[in-house]
Amino acid sequence: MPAPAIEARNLTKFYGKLKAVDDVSFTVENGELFGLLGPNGAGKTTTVLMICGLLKPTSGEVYVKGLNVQRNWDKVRKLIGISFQDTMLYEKLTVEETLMFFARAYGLTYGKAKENTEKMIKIFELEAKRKILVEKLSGGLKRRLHMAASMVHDPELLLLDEPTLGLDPQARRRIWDVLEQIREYGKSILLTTHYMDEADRLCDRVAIIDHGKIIALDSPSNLKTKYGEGDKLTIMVSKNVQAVAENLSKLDFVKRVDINGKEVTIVALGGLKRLGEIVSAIQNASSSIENLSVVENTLEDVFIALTGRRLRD
Amino acid sequence: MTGIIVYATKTLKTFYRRRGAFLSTLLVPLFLVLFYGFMFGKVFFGGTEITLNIGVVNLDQGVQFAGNFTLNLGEYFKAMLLNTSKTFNETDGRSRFTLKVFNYSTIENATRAFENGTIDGFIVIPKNFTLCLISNESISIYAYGDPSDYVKYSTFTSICRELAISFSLRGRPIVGVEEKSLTIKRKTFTYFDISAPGMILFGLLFVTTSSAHVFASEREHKLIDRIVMSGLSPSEIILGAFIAMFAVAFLQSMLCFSAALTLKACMVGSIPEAIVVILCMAMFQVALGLLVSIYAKNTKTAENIAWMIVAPIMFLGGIWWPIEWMAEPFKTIGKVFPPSMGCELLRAIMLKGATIFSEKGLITITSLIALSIAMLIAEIYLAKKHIFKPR
Repeated sequence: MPAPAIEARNLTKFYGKLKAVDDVSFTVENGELFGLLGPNGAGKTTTVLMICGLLKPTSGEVYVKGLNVQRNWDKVRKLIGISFQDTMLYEKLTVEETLMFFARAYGLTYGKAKENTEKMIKIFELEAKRKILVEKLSGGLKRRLHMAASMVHDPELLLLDEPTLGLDPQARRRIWDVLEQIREYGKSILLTTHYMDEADRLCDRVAIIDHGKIIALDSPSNLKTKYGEGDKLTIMVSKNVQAVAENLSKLDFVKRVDINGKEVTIVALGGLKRLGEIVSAIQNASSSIENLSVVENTLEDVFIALTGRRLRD
Repeated sequence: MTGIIVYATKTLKTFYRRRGAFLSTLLVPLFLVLFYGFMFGKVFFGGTEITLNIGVVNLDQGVQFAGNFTLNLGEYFKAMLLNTSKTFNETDGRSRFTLKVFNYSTIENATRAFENGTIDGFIVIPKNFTLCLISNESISIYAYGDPSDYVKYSTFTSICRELAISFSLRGRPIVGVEEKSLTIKRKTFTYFDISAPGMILFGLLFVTTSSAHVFASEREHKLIDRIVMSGLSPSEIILGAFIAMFAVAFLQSMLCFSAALTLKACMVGSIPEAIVVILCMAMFQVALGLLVSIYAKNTKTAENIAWMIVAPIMFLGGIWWPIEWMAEPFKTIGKVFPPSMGCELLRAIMLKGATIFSEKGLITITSLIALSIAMLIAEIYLAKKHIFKPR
């Protein structure tokens, strides 16, 4: 059985007296897109820096593809592609030169470097900008190039630290599209973010990290089913509003039922997944659904439920 | 090796595209050479023409033959010199010499004329000149001059040797030339002649500051972690940066050197040997800049540290004036700087015809190369210790 892409065992990091990462353990499987979701200063970047070996853990160990990072750093460096939080590029190189430089720096032959450069230019839609100096690119394009440069050597594991930080919604969506495209190549990806929608849309599993500790780890849908208020369904029924409300409140997963005219609003953990049971309850009250609107439980709600505060507080 | 080339190419490209830095590194020193060359060189002083005044003291007593016929070959020699002065109109590609001959009866008179600047050197024909020659014995004439006035001295002695050879070719035994050094200090170089060697090397101080920027800039723009995470090794980035900045230093110093020669800076010694010294200095200055670069946290700090190192070299290391002109305490301080050795050697090659193959020359060259290599090794070690290591 192949070793997991990342195995973090009881990682702890102190900066002086400040405990930035507190006994963090998790595993990223091969081909998985794993998210570290948490507010600024939660310890996400510190964790990433320990995984790539730039930062020494105060205690604990990290393994990448079964190799201890501290002991095999030279080998591990070549397995990893890292996109740091800050865009780190040579302003005076062109897009194409940047990709060629990083590809060659990783020891790729000229031919292979050229081939990978072309591939990255295509994936990240940089064709029109290939001869443009980095300093002339917009923030979104720089971010795309930054990510392209981190994977131009075709690494097995990709570490993306806040890849969409500071980008406008359109640029963020383009990065998401690219990431979805990349995951199809079977790469293992660790992504840190404080955007819940990003983690929700992209990640197979998410670890929610706060004050250096992992407070929950599961797939986004499971997290949303387990924690928080739940999905909010507002149902307009044809008749018998009281009976519908009574039937719905009898369902064990329904936390709250409110009536407003012909509208019944229920709050239920995993409510969307159990829509069948809700519809049956309404029909049992000799009523039918005229209109339905849903506000889904979010990872933000999960975070609030777990920590008592919002993700961006 | 690929890593070195990749990093060197990247460094060169980024440096070249920082137009301000690139042009100031190349053009400021070149501008200074051109400015000093035009201002103080030979170009606007009619300096292409040098008048060489030679004195002759004929002490030859000759040999008396029957019938009161006296043969005085010294007079023949003198006549040949006078004849030469009429036809001497030599061009060596840079300077044209006009020769004038003056007669003196005694060495004392000739020495006085030399001291007051009337003549640039004098020939003494010994009293047994004719006697030796007709007895088939070889004899030397004496060439008195000031070797520190190398341009004139070397021309003067070469005229003496040519005359001696032509005299010998007339079927007589070989006439030798014995050079006699007169240690009278007479400034005959232009200010540009003296300052040009330092100015050529002055440009390399700019390369030191530019080299100090290389890793400091990577650190400032947070690119250093990116470089560390790439497959490049410490030795690859150090040697890559060294090659790139050495190429810049080479281009810049050769531009300045060519400009100095074009503006007729005195070049008595061998040009290839001067280039070797310049290249050794370039190696040293680039390695010095990179050493600063390893430590400096940002480009501002790098620049400050680099100038703190470069400024004393500039003023005390023989760049703007020869170390021998400085007062004794400063002279001692100046000699401490390794670049001052290179600067003095280049000046000696250009003004006095010194060679790198002399003991002093070899020591200087070896020291500069050894120090450069030592600095590069230290940089690789420091990069491993401070950059390529988990924090």
